[in-house]
Amino acid sequence: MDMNLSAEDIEFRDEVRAFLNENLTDSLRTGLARTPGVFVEPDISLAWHKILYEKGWITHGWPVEDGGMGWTPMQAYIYEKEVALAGAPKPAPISLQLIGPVLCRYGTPAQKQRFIPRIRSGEDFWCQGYSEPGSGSDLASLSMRATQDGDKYVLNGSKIWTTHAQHANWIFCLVRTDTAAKKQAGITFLLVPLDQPGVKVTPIVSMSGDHEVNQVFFDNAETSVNNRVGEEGQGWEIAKFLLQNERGGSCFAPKLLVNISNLKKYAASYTTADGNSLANDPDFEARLAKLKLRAHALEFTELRIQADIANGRPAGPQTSLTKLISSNLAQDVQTLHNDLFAYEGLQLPSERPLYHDDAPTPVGSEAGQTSLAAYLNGRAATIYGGSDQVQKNIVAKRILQL
Amino acid sequence: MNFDLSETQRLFQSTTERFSSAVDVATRHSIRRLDGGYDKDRWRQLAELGLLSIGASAEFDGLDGSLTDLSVIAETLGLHNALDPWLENGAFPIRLGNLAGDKAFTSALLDGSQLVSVAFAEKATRYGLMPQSTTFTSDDNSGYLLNGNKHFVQTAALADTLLVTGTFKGEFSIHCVAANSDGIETQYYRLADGSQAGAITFNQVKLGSDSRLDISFEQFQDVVAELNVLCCAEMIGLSQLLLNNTINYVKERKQFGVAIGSFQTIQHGLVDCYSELEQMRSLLFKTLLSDENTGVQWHADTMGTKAFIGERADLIARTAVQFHGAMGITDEVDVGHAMKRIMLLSRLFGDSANHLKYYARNS
Repeated sequence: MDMNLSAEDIEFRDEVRAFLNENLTDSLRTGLARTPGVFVEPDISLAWHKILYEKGWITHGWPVEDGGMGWTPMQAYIYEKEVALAGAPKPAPISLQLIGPVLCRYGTPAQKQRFIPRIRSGEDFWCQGYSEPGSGSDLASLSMRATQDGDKYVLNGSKIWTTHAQHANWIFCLVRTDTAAKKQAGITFLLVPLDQPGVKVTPIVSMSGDHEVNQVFFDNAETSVNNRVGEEGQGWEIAKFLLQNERGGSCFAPKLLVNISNLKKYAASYTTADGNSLANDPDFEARLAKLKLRAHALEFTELRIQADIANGRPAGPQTSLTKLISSNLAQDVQTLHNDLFAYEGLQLPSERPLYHDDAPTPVGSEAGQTSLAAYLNGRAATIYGGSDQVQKNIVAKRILQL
Repeated sequence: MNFDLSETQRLFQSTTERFSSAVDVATRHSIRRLDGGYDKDRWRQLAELGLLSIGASAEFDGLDGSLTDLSVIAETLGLHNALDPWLENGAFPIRLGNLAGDKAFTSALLDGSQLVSVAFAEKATRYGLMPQSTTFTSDDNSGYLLNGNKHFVQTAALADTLLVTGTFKGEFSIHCVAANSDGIETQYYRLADGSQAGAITFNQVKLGSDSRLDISFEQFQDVVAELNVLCCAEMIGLSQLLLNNTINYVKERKQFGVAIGSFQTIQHGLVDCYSELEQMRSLLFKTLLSDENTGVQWHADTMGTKAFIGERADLIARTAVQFHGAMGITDEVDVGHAMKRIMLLSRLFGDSANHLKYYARNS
């Protein structure tokens, strides 16, 4: 057992730090800090994306032959930790962490050649067409149809909860190509351009007031058969591969640890009814300590998975576990975050974005102004990417073999 | 970065496993019925396998085991629900002897012929380690006189020597006391795990001038920090045992015509336990891989870890009993014994509330 940083690791850490110092501007940091949504808007994420692309670090977790960096798990961890400490935004996770790795694994040489350079450069912006109005947790019950007509597929149906479809130019969809087959077997994975007459994107506003998700309607929309990933009927296998990437091999803990240590700073400028600093209130201290211990445990659960992957033991259903743990912990951090601001934590500005000069002036602290919206958006964490209940079913079946 | 056990650690794991897996519930009951609640022959066997030597430094004839090596043993003992007081009467006094640099004291413990109980707990201090009701004073012949009282002295009836904490001229001091000295009065009683403890009164007990172990209060805290970690390791082993047994049970136990493990509420309850157990292991790894082994930050980290693990081990134990139904509350299945040992370990050196408070203030 060891966790030692080698001389190369320390050199690497210093390189990452120096890079972040030089390139992560105040406006990018503020953009992330003042975004209550789950994802930062493209004006922030793409600006940072471009900087990382130029540095060559944009797809560090990918296979080396497709543009990955071949970092050791320790280096990947160091990188994520430094990025979290520095407060950097996440560049386009749907493009880089979801569809990118799918194309690396399942894409034809022509698909790779066409799409991967544009994902890496940020030229294409992707969104994910999985859920439908009638199928959420029971994803395999999806009913959007794709019918082959010569060298193209004709698409009819609708996708929902589609994050940032309003900014995207491509969507990857799970569609039904065979209605006679068993439900998982009739599913196919297609890449569909959004800029066409048969596609309509309508916004869904969250209870926070944010517009992050949409419903996407397909009315005789079209895509080339060349945009099918894998074979017809292979969509479910690809979907599971993607969901495992969505759920884990993850590095949530460093960011959560930063958020937790910020809570202590915020609490220092608030007092309890008896006039003492909230930061020294025993109940607050105990809640904070419990969150910190959970985050440290998660940190090492993630490191153990990284070490397993490095030793040729794939993560598999373990990613359901980290998804469960991290999403619940993130919510509990947001709950304490919001509680500590007391009345100030009830402000819910409707203006967006909150990082521009014309944003409303916060009542009390800046962190208090975005706290409630972040809390409300955070409720989605235990629902998206497979709800808690679905993750527990997966762990019960595949790990505990019940 | 690597979380796998070394060859040597796997060897100690299998040795411990062979030693501890032989005790079934009936054997456990018969050993607990012996005088003193434990079998000193077993203690010698455990020592012969090197399970005590591993805790001592090489210059004291030990095997120089690291805290991680010791954790492997503690976890394996837990996994087999062992009734051996390896942690409290083995690792604890041996690590104290190591740190005191006392070769004669330490090496004498390694063959299992002697058993030492550490008398550190007092009603007056609750979970505090600085003694309040035990004092050492100078006697006429450059020796000491011991007065005061201790409780929760584990395996006291079988102890040859007591290591007693107290104060000398207001400073922390720890001394070796022959268990049969004049002036010692002990009330023996049973603990949660079936072992026997003593509540001891010391009345003008005469100690030699060489009775003092050369160890400061900070060093004593350093050893307790290690022992906190070993409690965690044993609780993880016990929790794994509880989870394994419960998963097996719900697959076999039928109600309403089906295995109860097919019910979602049972499945999700066990997933919660599994998830907590993985988190417990992770936090133990973090603590074991820490660069520190002394000081307030290290004490706080070990206490935080134990607060986290103790609370979760307790949850797993209660779930295991619940999912075993009425069988779970009998003295005839492992789960109850594991639960009782967890209750003892999670409170040993301080419960979760006590430890969390220290962690919250000092980390």
